[in-house]
Amino acid sequence: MSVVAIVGPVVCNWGMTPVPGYHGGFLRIDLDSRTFQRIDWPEGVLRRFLGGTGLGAWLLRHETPDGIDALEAASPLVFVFSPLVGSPLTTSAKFAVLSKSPLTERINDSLSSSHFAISGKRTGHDAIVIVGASDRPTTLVVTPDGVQFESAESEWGLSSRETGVRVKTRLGVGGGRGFQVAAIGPAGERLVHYATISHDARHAGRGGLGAVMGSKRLKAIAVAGDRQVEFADPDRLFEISKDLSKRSLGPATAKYRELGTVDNLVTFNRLGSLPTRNFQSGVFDQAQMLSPESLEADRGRTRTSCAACTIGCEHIFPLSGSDGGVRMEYENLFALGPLCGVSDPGVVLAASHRCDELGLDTISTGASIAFAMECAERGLVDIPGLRFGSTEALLSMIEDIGHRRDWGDLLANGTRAAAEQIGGQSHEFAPHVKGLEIPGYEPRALQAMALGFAVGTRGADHNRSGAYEVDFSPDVGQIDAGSETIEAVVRVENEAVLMDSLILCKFLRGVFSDRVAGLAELLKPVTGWDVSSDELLETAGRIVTLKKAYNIDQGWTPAEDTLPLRFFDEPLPEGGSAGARLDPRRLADQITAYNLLRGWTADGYVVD
Amino acid sequence: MDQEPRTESDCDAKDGVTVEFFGIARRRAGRTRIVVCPGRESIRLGDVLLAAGSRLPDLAGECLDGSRPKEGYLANINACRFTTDPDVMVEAGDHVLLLSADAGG
Repeated sequence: MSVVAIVGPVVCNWGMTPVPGYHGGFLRIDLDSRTFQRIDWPEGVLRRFLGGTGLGAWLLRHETPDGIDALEAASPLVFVFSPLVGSPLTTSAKFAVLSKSPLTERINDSLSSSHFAISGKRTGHDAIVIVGASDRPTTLVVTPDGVQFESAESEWGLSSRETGVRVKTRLGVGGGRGFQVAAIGPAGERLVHYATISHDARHAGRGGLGAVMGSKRLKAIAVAGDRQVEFADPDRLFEISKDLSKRSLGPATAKYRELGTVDNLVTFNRLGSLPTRNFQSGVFDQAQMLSPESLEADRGRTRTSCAACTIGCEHIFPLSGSDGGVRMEYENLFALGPLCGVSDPGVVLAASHRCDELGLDTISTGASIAFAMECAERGLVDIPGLRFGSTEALLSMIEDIGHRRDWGDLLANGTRAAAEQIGGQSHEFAPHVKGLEIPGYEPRALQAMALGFAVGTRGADHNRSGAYEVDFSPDVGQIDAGSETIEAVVRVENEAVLMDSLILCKFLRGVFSDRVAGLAELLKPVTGWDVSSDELLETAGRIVTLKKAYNIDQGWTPAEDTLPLRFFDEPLPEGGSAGARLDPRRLADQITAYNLLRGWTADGYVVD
Repeated sequence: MDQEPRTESDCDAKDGVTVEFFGIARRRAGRTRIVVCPGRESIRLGDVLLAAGSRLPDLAGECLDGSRPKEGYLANINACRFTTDPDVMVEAGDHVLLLSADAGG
């Protein structure tokens, strides 16, 4: 695609009447020239792409030059809010961050939560696009009055948490506006390809958005404002918000509230789908040591929630020898535990905390270290002490990655790049798809998820696809997938892209008897649009196709839609899915069927 | 909560069906597993769940709707096959896992 510059009339329409739920435009900041401009949305874009990842994908495609390196100055970084932000709908305080990923060189969209979303939207913009690069460490201060470019020299080297505290202290309360700060840690400064952007102990975690921010010498973004959007039918919105909050406290979310996602670990282990020792097994014989009960024993835990959330899924575990705590989820638990062969709960908590402080994606960090452990055990690399189960090696390698020291410098580019350097047959067991490390769903045991990983536009990803839902259902087989699986994979991906564009927490999924109809019902009193389920499904398909078109612009080929050779060649050795492996012919047929269901060519190209 | 079976009769058994609990089901059951329906070679899943629920009323109240898992819960036979169908037959020595249907992480 050629670059489509969004120029045209630059008119601030704060005096006009935008679509309810929106401010009507986005802020474009150029770090090269230290200028900014307000740009109105073209007619129809909002209804066609909604917000969050949908609207962000539209912006990103129009702002990204073909074939650009993700860490070049001209590579855009996009923060997007949604029409629901600022409403009383539970879990709606979320924002999306998008860029080209340095890890995959494909589209990357990550979500994060909490007060940054609310304050960011109160700046009077539906999105913030950042292009160019500063020549020195910089903090952007965004308010309805404009943008200030402040020095971040004194924060450079600090964690995102420390940076947030310092910037907030320096800026004060902002005339009652309450600044919120998203920042990178040392890993982002050093361009670790899976560095995060963090706010309020939440992270836009996957795909290296923190490295993109670091490449712009942008340490932090502070936002505050008082601009509120109008809602189309405030009374109805209040009514359905109250009902949704009530339902969010029911049995559909009890697991998240009472136990948190860490509960998955023991369940997945029993099912033989817990990735262990770099995906060499689906069973970890010490899994019980990392159960919720074991994590809680001798240390307790506290529960908290994102802003504007009634579910309260965050479970914070105290760190030994510290006043602080660390939020544990299944993904950081599996990646820094069983995937590395580590069962000591204290070490896994400490490892996760260090990833948060350095600003590292825990999944890619754990997977990169587990990959290196297997390389070391096979004699492909000589890294003293690096073996599965070595707690010291795990903790020291996290530091080395975060600071790009020694072997950590190699692993900081992810497993695909590391395998290219290490050579041998290491690419066969480097655990990634399109360069993004595989999360905690064993694809041989969960073969709908395997398809979701293969076709995912951002790579191996459980949040954009959600195909594990298909595996965890009585309707289809986990292993012997038929055509009904393909349709179900498309359906859950459509539902996920709608939730990620609106944006609502996916832990609400279970409270809707018909998710798409339920989302349409929420959107109407916000925007005034009389949106049907069919229109929303068409929108979902449009957004997925747009992301695919972006990837094609950036050089995607059909050969990328696959998994590492290990999953085809090595059957699972034990557990409920013992003997299972992926069949290359069947996966290829599934991918073809998926592409055709999406309205693309059989090999996955988008037809204009 | 018990981490281990309470009695000899609750251990894995060839005689009877072992019901294993995960997540909220484990919390409500207050244990990790029980063995039900001894002396039967082949039995409906629904009867297995009814038997488990009759011994564990807190579990029945939250996770079971009589002879089938409530919405949001699933049964899995021998860690291989998910089902909610009470008419599925299970054999003596089989393991029925009762778990949350939502595996988001």
